[in-house]
Amino acid sequence: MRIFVTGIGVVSGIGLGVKENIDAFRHMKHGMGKVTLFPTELDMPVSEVKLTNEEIKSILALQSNKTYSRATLLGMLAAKEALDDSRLNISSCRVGFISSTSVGGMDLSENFFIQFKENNSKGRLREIAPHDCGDSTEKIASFLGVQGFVTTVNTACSSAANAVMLGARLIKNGHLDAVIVGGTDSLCKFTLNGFNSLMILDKEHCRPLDNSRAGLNLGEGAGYLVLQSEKTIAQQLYCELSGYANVNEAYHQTGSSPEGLGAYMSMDKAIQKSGVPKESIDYINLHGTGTPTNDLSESRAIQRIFGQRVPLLSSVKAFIGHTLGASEGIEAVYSVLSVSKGIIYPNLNFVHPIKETGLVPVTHFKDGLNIRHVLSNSFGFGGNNSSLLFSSVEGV
Amino acid sequence: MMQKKCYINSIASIHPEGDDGCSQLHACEPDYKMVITNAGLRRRMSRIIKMGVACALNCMKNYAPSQMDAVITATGLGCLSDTEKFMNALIDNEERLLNPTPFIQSTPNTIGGQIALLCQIYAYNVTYTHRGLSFETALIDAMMRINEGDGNVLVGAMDEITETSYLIMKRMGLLKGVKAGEGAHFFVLGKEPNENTFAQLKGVDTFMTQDSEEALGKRIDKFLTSNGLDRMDVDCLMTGKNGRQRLDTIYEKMESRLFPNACHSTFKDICGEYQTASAFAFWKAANILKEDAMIKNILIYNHYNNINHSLILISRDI
Amino acid sequence: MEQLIEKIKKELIEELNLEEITPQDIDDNAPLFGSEGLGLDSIDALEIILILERNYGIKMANPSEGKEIFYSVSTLATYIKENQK
Repeated sequence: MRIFVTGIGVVSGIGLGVKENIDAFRHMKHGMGKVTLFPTELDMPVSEVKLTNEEIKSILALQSNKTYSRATLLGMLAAKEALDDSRLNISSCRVGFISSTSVGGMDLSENFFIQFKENNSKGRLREIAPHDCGDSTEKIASFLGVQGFVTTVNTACSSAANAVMLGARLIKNGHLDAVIVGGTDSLCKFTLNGFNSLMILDKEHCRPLDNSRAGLNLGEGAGYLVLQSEKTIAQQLYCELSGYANVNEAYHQTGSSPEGLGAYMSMDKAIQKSGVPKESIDYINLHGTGTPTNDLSESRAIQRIFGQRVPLLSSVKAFIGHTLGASEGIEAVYSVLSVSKGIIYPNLNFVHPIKETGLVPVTHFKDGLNIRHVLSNSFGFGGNNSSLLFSSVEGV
Repeated sequence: MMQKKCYINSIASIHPEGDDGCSQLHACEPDYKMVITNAGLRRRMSRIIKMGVACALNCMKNYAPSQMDAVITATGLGCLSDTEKFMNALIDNEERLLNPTPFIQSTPNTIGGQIALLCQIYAYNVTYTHRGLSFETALIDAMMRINEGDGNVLVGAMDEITETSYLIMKRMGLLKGVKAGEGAHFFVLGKEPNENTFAQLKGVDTFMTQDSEEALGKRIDKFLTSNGLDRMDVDCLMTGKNGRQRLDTIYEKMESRLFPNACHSTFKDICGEYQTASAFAFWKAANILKEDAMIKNILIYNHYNNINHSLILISRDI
Repeated sequence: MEQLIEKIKKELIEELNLEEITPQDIDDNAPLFGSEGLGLDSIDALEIILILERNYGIKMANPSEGKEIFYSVSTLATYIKENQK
């Protein structure tokens, strides 16, 4: 059984919807700026979605007096776009929804906590009720009208890739006919401070794959795909999800091994699963956070697999930031377009290659290329490494 | 795709020992130093992480780590005390000089990650965090992994109570007549039975609240039929009654109307209410099947807050 | 210096939650990081940076400077003596 992508939807710091996002890449317009969503002492570049919660509720025609976490709202925007794009009739077959988030409703609960801490009878309950990760998933599913299997994945930064994998496997194992998969995350004080305490944030605009890179910039957003097998496809499709893999590096709680063993294993397994010869992989959407460790490990792993013939590659994280639980959801959408429209994305702020590896990423936007297969990576805390492979499908 | 058989070959649990008059049921925890002997990793672990990791290690004691083809964990609320610790520090210190440890420990996949790190398991490793269906998702994923060729899958679930979470749940009205609980439970599911096999996991179904009792009955019947059984074959109905009268009535109706001849069992009187409590039911059911030859099929029906509903079918039929 | 070394050992044990280890167990010159020594890792390095700032007023903006400074309790003590505010 083959799994195809029939719908895509995305919202990020560079735009609302697929078209705005691609236009931003085309015009080299990144989404980095100062934090405006919450008061903070930290002065770090972040990529915020340029919409307030009220504006999003208005777009979605939701009641403005109802409380939703920002991750829920962002997820609704992107998931709705994906579902509409697929033209799937949600009651025509068994449709599920698999979403990922690392933050959940923390944007609300961190407000609740400030008051609760002072006096535990204080704090608005409607700000703590959506705290857990499952809340955004259930609200988005309900908003879409999904009646089938619904669940939430949380493996930190690789979450959305694992959501995509689970969705594909649920179809292959006969539990679902179609599934909306991806992730959503919003910026919040807890996460910004968490990453700051790990000293992996760059105070400047990040420089993925550059020798002088000094850390990552956080971002927010949501991205979803609609997956279907050949049994239920009624209209044109974007591409095939031909391979996927998840492994645990078991090296360290947060950092990756210098040799990039985890990255190597997940890419290698995904390629093996697809049956695609590695020489046919034309582009890699890197995890490429811009941290000294990740970019080196990932580069080494790529060289181990591809040797001298490394495909075109780039990281989009200098445009949209590291969107954590949403990252592979958003970047899977970009990867799908890479295969179906021949797009390769520019890697901003690259000047000098990493001296240990010498890899040079793509620095200009191009479309209309012949991109046969795209590999997309996402690596999370807890040694969680995932890779997805998307393939073009002429004549299906 | 036909589901391959899925055997429950090892079980472990850290859970409360029932009602001691308190409104919170706390797990009876082992001496973690004896179970998690790696002091370097253990020193960073908060209580829930120790509970989960220790339980997983106990569950895997008859296996070499390399025999695990997947590690699948589940938690409803994740690592609450680490989250609170970091949150408190953030507020008290006004974003300055924050220790990174509670932040990194607060991510729900920490338990799965620590198991992998401790035991050097490089296999597939995923965590589900979907409220009252977190454990059920883990089971469904595990069954698919067995179908896809895995030999052994480690599946587990854990949730903890903290003072904060208890107070908040109380304020939200979720604990009227209900005892809040916690616990960690791990299982090795295998594609082949062995001399330690407890039972077979036949199927799992998850759904949101049905429109009517009839609809629920139809759903249950469909689930049983898809597993080659009907209502008469269910020897034991285990339900998630938790003392909240209004929400317990659905269980009582199932007992009296759909399964009047089955024996009726509960589990939250021992483990309390929490989002992954069905994992304790699974543990209890596996034990019953091992010990009581008269029981062949146990159907677990649980709901969390009357929103997330699940059915789990466990059978002796080996 | 002796006193400072003793103080640092106690702080490391406390902040890094080194259960079952006493100050006497820590050799002044043994490596703190890596498997030959106390087995500390990059997260501990961050915690030590916090100890330096909180307890000694020393700000270390770049964690990578830490490799040499944090080699052993002795090198750490020397650094603190030279830089303490």
